[in-house]
Amino acid sequence: MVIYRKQPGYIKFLKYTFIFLITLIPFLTAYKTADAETIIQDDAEIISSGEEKKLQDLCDKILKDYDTSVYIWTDNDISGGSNYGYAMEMFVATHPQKNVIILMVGMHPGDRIYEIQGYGIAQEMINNKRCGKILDKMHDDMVDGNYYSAMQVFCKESRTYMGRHPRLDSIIFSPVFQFVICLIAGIIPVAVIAYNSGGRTTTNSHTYLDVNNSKVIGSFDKYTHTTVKRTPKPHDNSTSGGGSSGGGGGSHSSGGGRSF
Amino acid sequence: MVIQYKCPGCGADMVFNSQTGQLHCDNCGHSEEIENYKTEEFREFEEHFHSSAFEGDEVNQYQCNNCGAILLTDKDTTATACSFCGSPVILGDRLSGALAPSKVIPFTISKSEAEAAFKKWCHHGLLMPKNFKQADRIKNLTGMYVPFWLYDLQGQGEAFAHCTRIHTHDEGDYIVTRTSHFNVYRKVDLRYNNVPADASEKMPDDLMDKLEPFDYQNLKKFNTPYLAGFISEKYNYTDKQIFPRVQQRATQYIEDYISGSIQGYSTKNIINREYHTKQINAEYALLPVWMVYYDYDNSEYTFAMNGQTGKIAGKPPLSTGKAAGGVIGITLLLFIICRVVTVIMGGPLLW
Repeated sequence: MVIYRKQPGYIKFLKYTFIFLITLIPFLTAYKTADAETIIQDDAEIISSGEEKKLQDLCDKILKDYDTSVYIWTDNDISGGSNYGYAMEMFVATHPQKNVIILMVGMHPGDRIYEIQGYGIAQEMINNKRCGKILDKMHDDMVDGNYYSAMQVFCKESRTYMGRHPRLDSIIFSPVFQFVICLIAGIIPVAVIAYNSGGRTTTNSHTYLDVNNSKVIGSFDKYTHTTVKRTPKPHDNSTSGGGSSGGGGGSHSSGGGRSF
Repeated sequence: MVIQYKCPGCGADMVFNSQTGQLHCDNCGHSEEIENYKTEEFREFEEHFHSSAFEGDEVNQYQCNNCGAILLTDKDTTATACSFCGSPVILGDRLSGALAPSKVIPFTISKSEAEAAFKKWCHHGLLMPKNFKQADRIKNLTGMYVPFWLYDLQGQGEAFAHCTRIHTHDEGDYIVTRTSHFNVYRKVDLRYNNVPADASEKMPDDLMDKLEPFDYQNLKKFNTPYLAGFISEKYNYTDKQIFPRVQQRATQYIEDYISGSIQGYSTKNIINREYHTKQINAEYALLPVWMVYYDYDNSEYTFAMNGQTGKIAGKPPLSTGKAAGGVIGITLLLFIICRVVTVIMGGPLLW
């Protein structure tokens, strides 16, 4: 004979709390692994371990300031002819971080390539245009084999761009442009004052008009036709993701890659 | 024929007083209403007009009634002062017959007021050199009645215009612009009264144009006492001779009127126009102008001031230093504002 005894209330509470905590474990683990980190994976061995350490420090600053991980990945097998964009997506996908800037250097002999992609916040902050700009700035060092210098440029430029919204790339925020506009705005009032220094003509067509004896004696306004013009709405470039989004990697920005 | 107004009280010369609008004796303070001076006198002058030699270009001789000295006058002068005794003299024969002005606007700004107004104007000149702004080198300040023709004009105009009304709205990913086109026609019949044009060859047209407008509320029937104490000249050009200048101005007025009558469109473009201006009447009027002659940096600058409103015209010297300072100052101020806004929006102070 089996006797079922009703469990006391506190046992019930402990039991459900335990179950609840158990169910939380995967999330807590996930949180743990999702904790952002800098990854420098130099498979092609083009920088020294000392240099790697210095780059690590630079990248950690970006991580700390902008909650964005920096990956630097070099590989001997990746070439310009390969689907290096997809390879980078896969590399990012194997790590759980959401906000990532990745620099990939493919050192395949005779067809070397380097490319930058931005994910999450970095996709917005380091958009296609900025990726391209960083790639261009790195180019001379890459060609000369100064990989460490090039990576330093990458880190510094990335940090600058992460702290500056892409809308500030607009020409209206350019100091040179602003100065030219301000100069024109400075010249115009002075020129107007100089031009009017000799006195202004202040009479117009109404000054001498005899209103009581002046009128429109004939008029018509005939409608003829209507023309319709359709223009596509302009799109904001800063949010458009470049590159492919295969393999479930989601959208990202990219610079289009540069061979060197 | 020389006219000089003597005070009935003390016999001294009387001059026109811009404050009271009367003839005034500075010696004993006696004033006379100008309306009391009958204009019939002009009829006598007409005879002189025909017999005198004023129509020639040579300088004529007149004699001052006060001191008997010969008055040396320019061929255009109609009122001046005796260069020996300073007595105001009016040359009546040059103000009669065809040369008789029909209207006059008397001075309402006195010499001292004119000087003060000029100094104030200089003081407010933003780009004038510092020494010029002090206005302490006024060489001469002369009250002058300048001959003008006041035209009554009829302006007739017809114009065809192409006008559009533009509406835009969004349709999905497109911006749709609908432009409705209209053929517009206007025919106007306009009347302009007392459009002034200076008839003196000595006065630059643009300078005189800038003195406008005059207040015609104070446009009076001409009478010689208004000229006492001022310089005056007769016209050099007849109303017919300077009509083209007025016609050009009226044409622009007609265009502006027609353009103003076309309302409610996004764009308007007059493509065909035909304007005619006819002269209905032209009256010879003397309008008050203070001429200011100013010495600065070995050059003489001439300014004209509306003797009724105080409006000033004339090109003053410009300080290149102040102009450059102004440009630099405004540029830097705006540039700093731009950079501050950039920094506020998250950008760098400098690139």
